[in-house]
Amino acid sequence: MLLVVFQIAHDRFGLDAAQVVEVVPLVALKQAHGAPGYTAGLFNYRGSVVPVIDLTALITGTPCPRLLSTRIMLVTYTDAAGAQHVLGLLAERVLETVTCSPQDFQSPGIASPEAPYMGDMLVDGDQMLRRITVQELLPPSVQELLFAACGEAS
Amino acid sequence: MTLLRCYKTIGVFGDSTCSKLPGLVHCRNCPEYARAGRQLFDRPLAQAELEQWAELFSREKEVEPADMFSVVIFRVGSEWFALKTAFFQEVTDLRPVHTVPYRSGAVFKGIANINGELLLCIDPAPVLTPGAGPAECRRMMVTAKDNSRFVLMVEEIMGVHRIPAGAVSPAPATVAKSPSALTTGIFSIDTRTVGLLDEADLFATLSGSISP
Amino acid sequence: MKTFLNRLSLSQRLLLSSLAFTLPIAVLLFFVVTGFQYNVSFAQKEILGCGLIRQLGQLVELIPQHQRLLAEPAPRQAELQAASKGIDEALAIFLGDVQRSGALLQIDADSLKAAEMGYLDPAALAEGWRKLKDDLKSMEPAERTLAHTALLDTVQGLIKRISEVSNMVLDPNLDSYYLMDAAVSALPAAQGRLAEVLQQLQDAGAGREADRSGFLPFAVILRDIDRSRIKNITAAALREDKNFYGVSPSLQENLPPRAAQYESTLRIFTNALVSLTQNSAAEPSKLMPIGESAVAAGTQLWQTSIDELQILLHIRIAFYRTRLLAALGLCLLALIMSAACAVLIARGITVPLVRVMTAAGDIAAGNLALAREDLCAAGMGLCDGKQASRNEIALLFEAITAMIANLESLLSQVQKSGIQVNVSTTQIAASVRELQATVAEQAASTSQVNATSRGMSETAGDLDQTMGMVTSIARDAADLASGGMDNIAQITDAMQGLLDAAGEISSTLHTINEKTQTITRVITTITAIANRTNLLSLNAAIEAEKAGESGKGFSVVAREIRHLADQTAVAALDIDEMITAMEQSVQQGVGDVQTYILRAQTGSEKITLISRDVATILGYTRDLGPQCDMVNSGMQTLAQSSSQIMLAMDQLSQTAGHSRDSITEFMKVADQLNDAVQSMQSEVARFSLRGQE
Repeated sequence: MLLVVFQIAHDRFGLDAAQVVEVVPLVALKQAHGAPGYTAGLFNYRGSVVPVIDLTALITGTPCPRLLSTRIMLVTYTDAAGAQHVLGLLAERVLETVTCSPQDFQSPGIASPEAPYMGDMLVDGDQMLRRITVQELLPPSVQELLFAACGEAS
Repeated sequence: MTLLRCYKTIGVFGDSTCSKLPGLVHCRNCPEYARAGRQLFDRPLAQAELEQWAELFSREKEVEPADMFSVVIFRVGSEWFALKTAFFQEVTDLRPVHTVPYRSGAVFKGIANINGELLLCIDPAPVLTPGAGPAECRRMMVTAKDNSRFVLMVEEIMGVHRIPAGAVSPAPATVAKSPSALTTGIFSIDTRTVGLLDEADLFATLSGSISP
Repeated sequence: MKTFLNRLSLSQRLLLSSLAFTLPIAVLLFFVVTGFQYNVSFAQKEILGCGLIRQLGQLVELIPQHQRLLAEPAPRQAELQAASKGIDEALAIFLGDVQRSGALLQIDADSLKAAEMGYLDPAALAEGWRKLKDDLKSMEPAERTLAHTALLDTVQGLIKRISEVSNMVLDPNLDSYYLMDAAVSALPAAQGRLAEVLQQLQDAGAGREADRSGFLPFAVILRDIDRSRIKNITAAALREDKNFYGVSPSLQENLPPRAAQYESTLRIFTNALVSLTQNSAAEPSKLMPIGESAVAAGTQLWQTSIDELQILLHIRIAFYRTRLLAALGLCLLALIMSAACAVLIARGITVPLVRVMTAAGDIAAGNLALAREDLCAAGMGLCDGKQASRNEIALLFEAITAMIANLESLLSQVQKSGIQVNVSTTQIAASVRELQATVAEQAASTSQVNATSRGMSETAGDLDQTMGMVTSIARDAADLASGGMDNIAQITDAMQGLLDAAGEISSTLHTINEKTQTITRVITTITAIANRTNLLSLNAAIEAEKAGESGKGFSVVAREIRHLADQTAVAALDIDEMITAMEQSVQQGVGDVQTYILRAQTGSEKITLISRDVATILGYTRDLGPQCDMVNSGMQTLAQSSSQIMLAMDQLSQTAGHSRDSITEFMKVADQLNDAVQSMQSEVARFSLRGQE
């Protein structure tokens, strides 16, 4: 399997490429009023409105710096109702992919209930990265809010 | 932020004392090197660029028509020809051609070594543009169909292009106006008229030129 | 050579040329005389040889006769005595001849020994004969025969020897050669053979019968070889006689009868001899008288031919002597004639020359009329108007006559001019005395002016020296100031150059700055491209992953593209780093240059100020210089003028002195001129001109 690697603060994280629609550069985003603080904004992706979550803000609480390597990963997201949506995830240093096998993952051994999206650990050469489970990213309330807003915008 | 500079101190651009270097041959195969390069992308992004990208992605994605096919366009003499990309294996610089006694002629030039494989080398000019002068070949194209493989010597390669099937018009009825008897149709690209070669006829003709 | 010839008189020169001709003639004459003399001595030697052979010929007849007489059964004493006496006489004459000319003919004992022919010694021959005569009674017949034969052999050898050494065999003329051949070769051989035949006949008659057929070869040889040979020789001698020095009458008269007689007697004898061999009954002794007569005829012929040969040789000698005399006479005649010619030519030149010399002497003495008469007396046809000859002498006479005429007219002119010059001289002397007085006055005033100008010149010289010092000091000051000015100007130039260079550096740095900014823009572009490439590779990898197995190859390409983007990024970073460093350097450089320019400008301004001050000083000094120069040059001009005046005055007084001297000199010269004119007039008067006589 292929992981799209990105960085938050000084830690590396990975995202299953199968879920990724496309990686796009950081674009000027529309303000998503009323959305949680970690929402970067709304993105007009080929005619449809896509909400963009700032993963750095979500994890560390500070917004992601606007750099050349700061990119938006568009992923498919299935909401609680089972409808499929495209979700943008903002992170920095979205520059590489890592090929690995599902068996290579190891459990970190520490559960984090407040962050259910944090997945298993992968040792990649001399570095480590942690898998992000997209599906667990958004609490249902936020899902509703975001996709409803998107529906309004579109 | 301190910059990674190991390739300049202990790498190939320094004194080559890096312990990883013998295994990697060159620093560019090293993840440290890639990491150093990626520091370039830590630069701040201009607001103008953000707007540009937003504008670009707001548009509908260009979707190719379903009936497109890919061709490689190349030049022989003054004529441009196209052959379906599927029949191409490789494109190389000009390699030395070793003549085969009693076999080498105007069309069959001899044998060329392409990446360790000995392949039959063909000058398609007499077949495609009969009567024109000798071509000044600069490229070699490895083509394959079924089990036969040929190296074609051509002067210039325009590249791989995707052509809608509707753009191809039938070749002119009169043979004189046709670039070659082997063309099944013609199409225009960048104001150039390109003759689309019929792969079956081409490979049959080439095989025929080699058979004694 | 030329100077030597010039020193000689005319007749001496002619003599010299005659001598030059005499030398080759003498040499030629010498060769001619030698040639003739050789021929004469050649013939004389032959004559000597002939005389000797004549005596030997008698011996050739007499010795066999003596032998035969002895061999007779009853020797006839009278005849024997006669033969013996004949031999004695002939030998005596022969020995006498050998005594006289033996050495010349090389038949004396020494010469013969030297030629290895000692057995032919004439003295030995005489000794042999004397011994034979003394021992005649005691000798056996065979011994006698041997002795006779030995004598005869010696005689024959001598004949041969003499004929060789006396040039006879080398005789160049055919008539004498044939006679010699008969006398020296043919006749002695024939006589010898006859004697032998007679000896054998005698033996045969004496009962000592021999084979008669033995006579036949003798008869045949005598008849067919000896007789015909002698006949041919005599005929040839007679025939050739006329071709050499004319016909000899005695030869033509004496030789034919003797030859005919010899031939007939020999023919009779040989015929008898042949019949004797064929007829055994014939008595050999009957042939003896016939043989004797043949021998006598042969001897006569021999004697005659030798005599005639001698006559021919005498004729030849006479001929050569005549020729020799003729050659000598001709040469002498030629010499006499050339000498006579030389004398005549010399006289033809010298006599008129003496006349001319006399005339010239007359002219020198001033007696022109006498000279004219002398020339007329020479009779060259000058005075009577006849044109006698056009040779060089005549032309000389003409020229001298013309000269005398010209001289006369010239003299008359000189006399007239002399009188005129005399008058003028007197006038000149008067004028010169006046001039002398004037010059003396001028000299006095000149020396006064001279003293005054000398004083002025000295004063001017002192002033000039002082002024010169002032000028040189001013000039030094000006030079110093000027040098300072130059240095300042150089410094100013250097400062300006530095400012310019700094400006250039500054502008170059600005250019570099602009370029680096361009590069920075390029880096930005590269960065954007690398970024997009990286993004593209990411998406490509994702797409390939989604494509599953079929996207495997494509994922590799995607990874490669990402590597490419990484490498591009590294390059961009490196360039960026370098550019940053460069920009810093440039900024620092620009700052430094600005500071430097500021300082340089301040320095330059200060220097300009100094320069202005120095220029002012220089201006003052420069103004001082020309003024000093002007004063100085004025002074110099004054001093120069004074000294020039002095010089001029000196020259003037000198000239005055010279004029005085010149006038005195001139007066002297005028006096001398007067004297000269007087003496010239008297000299001219000395010439007695024809017109005044």
